[in-house]
Amino acid sequence: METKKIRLTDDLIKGVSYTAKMEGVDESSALSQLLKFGVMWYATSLYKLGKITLAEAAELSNVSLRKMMDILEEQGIKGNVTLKQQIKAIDYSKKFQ
Amino acid sequence: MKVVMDSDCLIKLTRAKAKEVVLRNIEVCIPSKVFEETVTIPKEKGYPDAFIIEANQKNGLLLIGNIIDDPNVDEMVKSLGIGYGEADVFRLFKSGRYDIISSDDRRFLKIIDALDVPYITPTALIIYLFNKKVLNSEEAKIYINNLKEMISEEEYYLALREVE
Repeated sequence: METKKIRLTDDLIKGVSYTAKMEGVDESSALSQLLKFGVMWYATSLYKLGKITLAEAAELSNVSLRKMMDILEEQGIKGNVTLKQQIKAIDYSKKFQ
Repeated sequence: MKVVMDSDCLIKLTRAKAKEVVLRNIEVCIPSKVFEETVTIPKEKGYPDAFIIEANQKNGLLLIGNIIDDPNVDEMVKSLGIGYGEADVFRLFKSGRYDIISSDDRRFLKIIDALDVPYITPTALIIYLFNKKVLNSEEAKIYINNLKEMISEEEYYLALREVE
């Protein structure tokens, strides 16, 4: 584990203190927890936009690919295939008949 | 049709109870990395789909393909920034023994599309079986609806329209 020095705004300090109180942990642990949630949220957002693959999102969130699928579902992210991609996939399905 | 399938697609088909009909009618192959992502690791956490996929591999319905070392393909994988199971799906496809890649991942599809590699989504596999008359409209709709919670709305509505 590494120690990092960061500057926090008042609203973030308030959030960290609140989390520490709610979770019954010290502020350092609360900050780590919030950062972990933040990284996971960021990974799911990038996946939703199609900027990273499912495996990359899992790696970034430090969970297995299978667990990442559960996380995406919990956050209401069903899939990210575009209309154009689906049209092309259907065309290929007909081509290989 | 000979398909190389990625983890995302395989897990979604399994959970939608559509995998059996797909594997019984289409030759599906996965690289060992996809087996690791869908069976070896999830089995340790008790995911039911991992045990079902493993059973398919044991009874020969799901094949595991060997990747042939090709420095040119490795260079492509590196320059395209493909990693994990998808990298081996691409390597397996490039071995030349397969027709199409099956995936439900926008970024991966975007990469392979730029290379003119044919691809098929989980719902397009159902459409394929519907057009081949393996499934009737009602059966195809059931499988597409089973996939509904795991796929994009665009994919879902377009698939449903195709089998009506």
